[in-house]
Amino acid sequence: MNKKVGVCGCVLLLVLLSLAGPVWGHLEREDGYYTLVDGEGHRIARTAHEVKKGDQYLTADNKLYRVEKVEENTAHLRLVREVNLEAAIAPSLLTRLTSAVLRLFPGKEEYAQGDNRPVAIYHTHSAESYVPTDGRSSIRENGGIFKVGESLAQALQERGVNVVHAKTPHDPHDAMAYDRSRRTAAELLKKNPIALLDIHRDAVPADEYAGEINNTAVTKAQLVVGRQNPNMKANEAFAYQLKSVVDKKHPGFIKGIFYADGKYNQDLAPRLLLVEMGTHTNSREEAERGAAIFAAAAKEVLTNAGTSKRAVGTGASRSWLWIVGLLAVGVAIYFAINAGFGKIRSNLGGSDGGADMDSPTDQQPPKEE
Amino acid sequence: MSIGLLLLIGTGILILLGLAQQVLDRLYLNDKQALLILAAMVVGSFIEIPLYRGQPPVSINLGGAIIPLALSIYVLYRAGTAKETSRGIFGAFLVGALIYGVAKIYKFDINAGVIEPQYLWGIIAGVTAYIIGRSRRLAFIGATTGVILADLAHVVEGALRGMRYGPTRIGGAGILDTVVLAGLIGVVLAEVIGESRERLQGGPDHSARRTEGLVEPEHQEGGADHE
Repeated sequence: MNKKVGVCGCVLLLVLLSLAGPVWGHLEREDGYYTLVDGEGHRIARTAHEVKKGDQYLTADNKLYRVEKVEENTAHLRLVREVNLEAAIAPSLLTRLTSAVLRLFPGKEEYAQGDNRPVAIYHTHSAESYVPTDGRSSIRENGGIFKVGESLAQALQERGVNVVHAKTPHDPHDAMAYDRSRRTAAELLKKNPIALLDIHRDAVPADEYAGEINNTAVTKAQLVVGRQNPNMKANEAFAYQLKSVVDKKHPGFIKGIFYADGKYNQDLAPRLLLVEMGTHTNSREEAERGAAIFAAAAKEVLTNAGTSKRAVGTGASRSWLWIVGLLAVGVAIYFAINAGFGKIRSNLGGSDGGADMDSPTDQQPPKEE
Repeated sequence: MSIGLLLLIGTGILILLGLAQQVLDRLYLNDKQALLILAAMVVGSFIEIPLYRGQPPVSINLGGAIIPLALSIYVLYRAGTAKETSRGIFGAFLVGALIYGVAKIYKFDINAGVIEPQYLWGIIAGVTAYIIGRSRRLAFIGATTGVILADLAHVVEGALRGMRYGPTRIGGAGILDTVVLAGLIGVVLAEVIGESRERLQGGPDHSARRTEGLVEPEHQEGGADHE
């Protein structure tokens, strides 16, 4: 028994190490950062996070890049395509058809308009702070990021928007932080918000986010869409919609959309986005002004489910097709393994165990214990 | 609401209910009981029971933690042999410790880390349970109790180190909480690994030389075939 437990422990440790292996490789770099360059060597962006092949990034001018290879501190990107945000968020044929049908029944279409549903703001990494003004990059349970959230909330409230700002700390900044903030987000969802924003700050050199609007220094913003997320296409459509409306007022203010591994609780709602307001080396005042600019420019989309519901609906249709497709593949593989192998084995003249796979008694699943 | 969103939500609910039903089926529950438990979890998601009113407060959600926990205890109680019960308790503590430990060393952030932690906890529970006992039930017990124990460890750690962590709301997201998600992933993973591995090595042994214990009993009625 002891030997068995020992063997199990060793196997388990190996499995976990293989899972946690990338952990040590994916720490935030303290010795520098990655520079992302395109095919001609032009700098596209910089990041303190580990970059790997397959990562995607949508730039301020709506070019979608994919990481092809990583050499030391440089990631080489390939241009995938130029994204036309307007076209990308246009309703699909399916959505247009439904709208046409719904128009035959007056009153069904406008249900979401006119009510004062809130915009919800929370902070998963509640310690994130800004070094030049806060003194440190991280302040436990009460980071400078709360004040940036406040500035965003205030700018929206000044425009008559109902805002719920949760200042719940989710410290420490470990891998369970999103499990804890999920509970805050779920609580906020009970208030039926139109949009949920998880406000963060980045960790790259200050000039990456430095911007100027009306001769005033502000930080730019970056939107983050989680890729390991069944809602991804809907969240992406919401991000496109936000970027498209902000671009019209302040081109380049949203410096890009980052497609990150993980889901960041975006599976909870189609209109839940993670926004990075500046970086730890910007001053907090710049980030607060940036948040106010973002609120003013994005208000139209943030507060009106009507403007974003078609785009998000299109994204949702795509998500649905993906899920159904993946489900079909998964089920096919499961059946191939569970039924098909028996036939393959018997055709190959395999063991007697496999030869009678088709017998009716085989319908009973194997005993577990 | 657009048809895409409706389809997405509908499919999501169907998959979730289908998975949850399959999972509950593995836990000695018949279809009616399984649906009742699911309904109780949905309603219970809105009920939060305070455990500690000081600073920081600790509370537990009915649908997201108490019902899954009660189900784990019921499954352990039904286990029959003392060996299986002790294995279940050992497994739950092991998974709890693993989740707590991995959460400390696994740096997950925007593009740091390769997999969403909320999926990882279920994977840890499923793999651990399969290695310890080749058991889908142990995967459920390990995953749900493991996440709850990791939350409790967080509370204890905060108290010991004098941190003023935020409120701990165990299972606070209700049926959408990591506790439930990890339980689902754990059982489904153990099921897929188990079924596939058992089939790949030839399926049930029907040959004459199989050991006596593997001889199938007469066809039984009821849920016994899911054990």
